Amino acid sequence: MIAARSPLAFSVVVALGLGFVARAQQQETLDQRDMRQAEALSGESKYAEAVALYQGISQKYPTSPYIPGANLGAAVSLFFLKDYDKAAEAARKNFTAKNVPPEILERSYVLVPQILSTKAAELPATQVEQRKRAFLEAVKGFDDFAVKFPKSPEVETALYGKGRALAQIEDFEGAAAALKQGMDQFPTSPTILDTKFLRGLVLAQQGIKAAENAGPNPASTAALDEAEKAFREVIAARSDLVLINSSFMQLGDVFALKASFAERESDSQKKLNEQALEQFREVRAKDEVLNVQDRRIKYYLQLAETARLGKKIDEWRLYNRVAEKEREKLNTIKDQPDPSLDAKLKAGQIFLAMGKYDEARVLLNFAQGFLAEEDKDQKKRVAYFQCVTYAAQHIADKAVAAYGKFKTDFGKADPIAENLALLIGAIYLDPDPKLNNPDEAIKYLDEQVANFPKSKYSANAIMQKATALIALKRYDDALKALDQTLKTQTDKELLSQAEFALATVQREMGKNEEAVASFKTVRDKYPGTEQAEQAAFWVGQIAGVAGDTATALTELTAFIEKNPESSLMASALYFKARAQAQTDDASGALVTYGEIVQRFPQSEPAQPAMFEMAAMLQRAADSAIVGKPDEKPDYSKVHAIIDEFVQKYPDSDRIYAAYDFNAQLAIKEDKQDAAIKAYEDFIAQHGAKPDVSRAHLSLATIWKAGAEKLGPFLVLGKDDQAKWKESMETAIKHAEQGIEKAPESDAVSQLLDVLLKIDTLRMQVSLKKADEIKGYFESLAGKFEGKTTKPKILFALANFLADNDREKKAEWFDIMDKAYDPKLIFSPADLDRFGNALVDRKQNDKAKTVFDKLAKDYPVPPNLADPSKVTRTVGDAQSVAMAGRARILQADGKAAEAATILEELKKIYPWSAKVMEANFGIGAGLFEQKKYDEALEILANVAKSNTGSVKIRAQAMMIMAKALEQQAKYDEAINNYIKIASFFESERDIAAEGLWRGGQLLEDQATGKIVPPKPTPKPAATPKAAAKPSPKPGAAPKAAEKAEPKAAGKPAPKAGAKPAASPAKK
Amino acid sequence: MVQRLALLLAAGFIALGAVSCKKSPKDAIAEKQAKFRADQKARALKQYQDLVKKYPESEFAEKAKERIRALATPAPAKK
Repeated sequence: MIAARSPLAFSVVVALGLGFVARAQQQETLDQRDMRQAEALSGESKYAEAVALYQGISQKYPTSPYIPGANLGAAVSLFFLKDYDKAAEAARKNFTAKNVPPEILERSYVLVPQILSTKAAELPATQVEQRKRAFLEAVKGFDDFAVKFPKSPEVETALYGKGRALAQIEDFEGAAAALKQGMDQFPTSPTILDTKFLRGLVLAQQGIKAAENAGPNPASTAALDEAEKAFREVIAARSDLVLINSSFMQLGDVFALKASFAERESDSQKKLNEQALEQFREVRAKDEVLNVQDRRIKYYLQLAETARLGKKIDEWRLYNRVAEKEREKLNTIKDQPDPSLDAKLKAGQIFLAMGKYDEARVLLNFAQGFLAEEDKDQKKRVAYFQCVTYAAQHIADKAVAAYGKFKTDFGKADPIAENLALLIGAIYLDPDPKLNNPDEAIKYLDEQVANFPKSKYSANAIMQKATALIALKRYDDALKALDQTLKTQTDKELLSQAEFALATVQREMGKNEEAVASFKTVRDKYPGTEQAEQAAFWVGQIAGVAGDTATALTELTAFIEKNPESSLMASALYFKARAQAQTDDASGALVTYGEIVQRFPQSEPAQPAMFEMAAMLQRAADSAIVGKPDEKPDYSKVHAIIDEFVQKYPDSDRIYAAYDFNAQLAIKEDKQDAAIKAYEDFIAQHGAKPDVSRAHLSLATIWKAGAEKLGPFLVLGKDDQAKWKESMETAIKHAEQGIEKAPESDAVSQLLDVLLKIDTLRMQVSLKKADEIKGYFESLAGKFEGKTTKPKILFALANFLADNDREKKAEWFDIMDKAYDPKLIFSPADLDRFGNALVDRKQNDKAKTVFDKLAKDYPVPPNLADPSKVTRTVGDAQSVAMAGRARILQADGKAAEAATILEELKKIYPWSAKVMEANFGIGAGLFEQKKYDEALEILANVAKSNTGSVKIRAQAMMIMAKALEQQAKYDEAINNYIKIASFFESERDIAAEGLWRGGQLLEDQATGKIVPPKPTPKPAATPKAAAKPSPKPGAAPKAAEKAEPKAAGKPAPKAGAKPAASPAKK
Repeated sequence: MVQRLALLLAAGFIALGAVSCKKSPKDAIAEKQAKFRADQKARALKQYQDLVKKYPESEFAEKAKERIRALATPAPAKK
């Protein structure tokens, strides 16, 4: 703040006209000399020596006319020595002295309250009452002066001083009124701008105070507007750069303040922040202001000299006084830091408030480069805000480094850094898996509490810690942390947050009833708070999720009515619509979903709402044709919704899902061309999106399915064979494009699988040779040198070779082993094969790392209470890892531990293919032990399961057939053998073996080697049939002979198992 | 008269024939078995043919072809 009209702006020499006289007469008396010397010493800040000289005048020259001036000079010097009582005493001597010149008398009278005011300002802030009393005493002094010397020009000084004193005791209205009075009474005063500026400051403070008590309100806005006007007037006068510069700074502060009052992220807030930035940009550098001010002083001194030469003592006095006041300003500025740097720091804070962290950092870094060693406070502010920008952007490494440096440079508990540890902790609670690290978050949150135990931020840190503990599923610890908050805090806001968090923990723990009760408490105990509003929402939401749709509907409807402006409105409508749908109020649900889309098109639930609407309309269309086999569902409304979605949200994350929805609907409608068009449209319009690979995958799948629908290639006519080949080529083209366009996509594994299946099919019908396929995949891998795609392609090749490795060369394993890179993420199926191959090769330790890596690469989300609710891919990965670990344990002879894992696997992922594999293993084992009935029971479940792989199911059916054959249930055995080819045509080796074995048994029946069925076939009752005499004696025992080694020696369920029936039969 | 006699003779022949053609239970079983065996042979042949057609690359395809040839060749007449 600029210290205009302070006692500093005073010269006894000028007051007495000594300079005027000295230059005019060139004669100097002793008392006059002492006065001049005292004045000079005072000018050199040698106040103690000056006081001695001043006080010596009355003693050495008792009749001197300079005694009143000496008293005044002594008062001023004592003031600078901060001996305020003696200063006031010296000034008061003139009150009773004789022949005191009016100028000196008025100055002495106005000086006393100025001294009192300064003394009051230096009292500790804690001595509220003493300060107030002292300032009021000063105010009384100023008022007395105005009464005693109503015509004095020093009345302006008195009013200014009164305004300043009243502002100190926060009587801003009184202060502003006094200053306004000064401006009105002295409209042409050369110091009117100083008064205007101070009034601007007072009004700004008045505005802040008014807003502090009741939030932004008309009174605060009016005061800030008036302040803005005052500063603008100072700037518009364009006569005093010091005041102009300070006014720009203050205007910036006023706009920043107004912005903080405006609605968050509103246009008006943005505009106000930009206005603040404009003002801060206008603030000039210290050197520039000093130069201008220096010229200004010289200008007034020049005017004074002209007045002196013209013998105009009043003008001479005036200009000298103005020059002195301007010099005082100059000295004040010299002692202050560069205002332009301060403005840059403030602009940085504005950018911070606007969320423009990079811009903020640019300014902070710039300002940092100009800060001198002694600008420690500003350096600290810069360091603090730099850390805040990194923390706000969740740039963890730099934020942590900045925080560490701050602690080193300024200590760990500096008040400005009261929230830094909390901000750093919050980085690690970011849901982004690359940042999310609740343990690390807890470390900083604990540090926050340790360094600032009484801070409100520390209470918040405890809350955040509870959140971190929830993420770690350490619910009991979370409850403890919250309990600590609830017991130790009294702040209502924090308590409401803590109780809200408590309810959240209960919800996370699945204690829905307790959670609902707690949310109800928050709702009813803290009405009007954000937590109460949210709690009301959760009461309905939880009820809906827990299946209590009636309560959900009641609560959510009440929430919607009571909180029409709630930020949770869209979510509330969404869950209400869901509850409506669950209570068979489909039309109501559609209306509610529609309301979300219409009223809150940009809200998070709007897009899922459209998908829900589409799904509901689809179900309605399907229901409409139940019992009408000749009619087809009318999906036109469904398509319309999805088309609207595509129009409305072209940049949505769900845009592929929308195209896919339409395409899948078209496939259901048997409109393959429309489905193909939908995917092609997506590729054309969203070619740069990663989902393009999924669109190509869908197209490849459609074209492949189209070819397969024509029938087995070898039984097709020439035209259909050409079509088959063409469709497969198109499928391959899309698979290749999908891989090339998004080589790092998750879809690559599936695209490779399609390529592999097509090439395998083509090889089986002699359109391709194994070597060609191998070469193709090797060449494809070569296109992705250095990318993660290459190992995936090599794994695909290895899989192909493994599937066709009839000679057991195991070349595939070497390819996998070389391509395996623990840093890359492979599909669960790939690592299943690789890990098990390692176990086969007794590399159990490496196999364990592979299975552990798989489980880590596809983790169960930390917040998921029920691990069985994971996505299919995660479930596949977890089940493969569990089965793999179990197998290693079995290999290590730890059967019991293995069994525990397998039981857990069955419990968590009963749908897993791995469970079916385990069941298959059990069935195959029972078959080996000749426990055919038990084997048949288990294997029948495997064969007909939808979750087991096709291969496992085909193998199960093969062993079932063999078991039936062993039981001499020949007809059933034959039926099973030959149906493998019908049910599992793609498992070519097993299907071919089935046909062969079925044919063999049929031949045996034809030749009578085995008995024909009885009229009422009861195969189970025919074990003796083999012993019955057959038309060709000896044939039956032969068949039995044949069967025995088959069961005992070659029971293996492997697809490639050779038939036990001797091919050399004929 | 002659015509009537001829009709009676014809009826007698038919009756004689019927008596002489009536199978014993053993023959009936044998006939059924023969039919069953022929059916199974035909079904076996079909499985082999399917195998060769659908899975020509299979290790069983060559063996199946041998069986097709064998089954297609008429069995030598019993002496």
